Amino acid sequence: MHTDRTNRLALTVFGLIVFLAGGFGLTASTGGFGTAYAHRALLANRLGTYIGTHGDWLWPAAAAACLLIALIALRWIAALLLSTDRASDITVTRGSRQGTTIMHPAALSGAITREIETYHGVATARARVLGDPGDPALVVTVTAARSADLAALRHRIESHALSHARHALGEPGLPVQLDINVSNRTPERVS
Amino acid sequence: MRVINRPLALVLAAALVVASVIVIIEVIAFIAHAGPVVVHWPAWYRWAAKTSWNALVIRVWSVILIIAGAIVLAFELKPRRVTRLKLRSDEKATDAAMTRKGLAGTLRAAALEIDGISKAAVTVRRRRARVAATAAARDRAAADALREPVAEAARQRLENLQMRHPPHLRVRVLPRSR
Repeated sequence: MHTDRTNRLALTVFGLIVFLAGGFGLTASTGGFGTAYAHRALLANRLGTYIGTHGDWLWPAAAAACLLIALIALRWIAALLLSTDRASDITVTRGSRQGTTIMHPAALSGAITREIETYHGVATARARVLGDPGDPALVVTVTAARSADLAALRHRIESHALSHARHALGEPGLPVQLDINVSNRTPERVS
Repeated sequence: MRVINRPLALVLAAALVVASVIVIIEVIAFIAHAGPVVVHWPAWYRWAAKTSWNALVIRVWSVILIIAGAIVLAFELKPRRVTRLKLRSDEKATDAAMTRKGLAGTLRAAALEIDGISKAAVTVRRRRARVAATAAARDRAAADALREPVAEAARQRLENLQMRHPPHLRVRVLPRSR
């Protein structure tokens, strides 16, 4: 998923802040910053004094920062709930004389899926077109039967189905992620 | 991991929005000389002004924060389990891989193809694949004799797959228990 890195980074930063805040609190509480500090009130420090004396501009600045944080967090929520990493319609251009073709990603993924599923030894296949329509990438997941010759199957997928996909999009360098799985189903024995 | 991270991220993002909006509202209310609107922050302020760092409540909350932060950090920094084992490909733009489960399945199938093997369990890690097969015979010697054929079949499968970094193979064949 495209927000995975953002999620992980944000949660790591959050975890670090929480951990450091707890560490600071416990250190201050147990006298790590001196016995006098441990007996002081929470706000009786330089930071508290600074905020107290510069509150006239500091709090509006904090509110502005909060507005920025809220907007970023809202965008993050929107990305988590609404956006998809799937590509939208792809424009295929094959020279000025031949015009342009608009290809729906589902048409391409459907064609690839159907082609691969006709190959011997394939149980199921799934294809997705991801990324920017101008720079798409293809993700193909193939579940092979246990009895399948995986090397031959992979060669066939790469030289036929993936080659057809690249040709259809007019992109010989189309990045493809091919994941091969093996079916869990035990083949029925012939008695 | 990914599945849990998404709701956690959603909760964190929502909490950030709520907290930020509350701060904005309270700052505006303070500037407009109105009282607290959403949270009664003057009470918090008075509490913070009179509570010292060595208070029990601070220690308890500090420990809670340390534990919570450590859990989140451990969860996020733990290396992800390998799900794809890359295969060699002639085409540069193709990133072919065998799934971990797929590799386990094919190695299990290879072991089961050997006559005399009744069961097989395979675990695949980043650098190691372990095949634990069970012979149909109860005899230890017969089980030992099957070890090499099973290992050879599994090795053959790995070679055919043309993996970039084939896992180190470990094969064990046990006699049937009863």
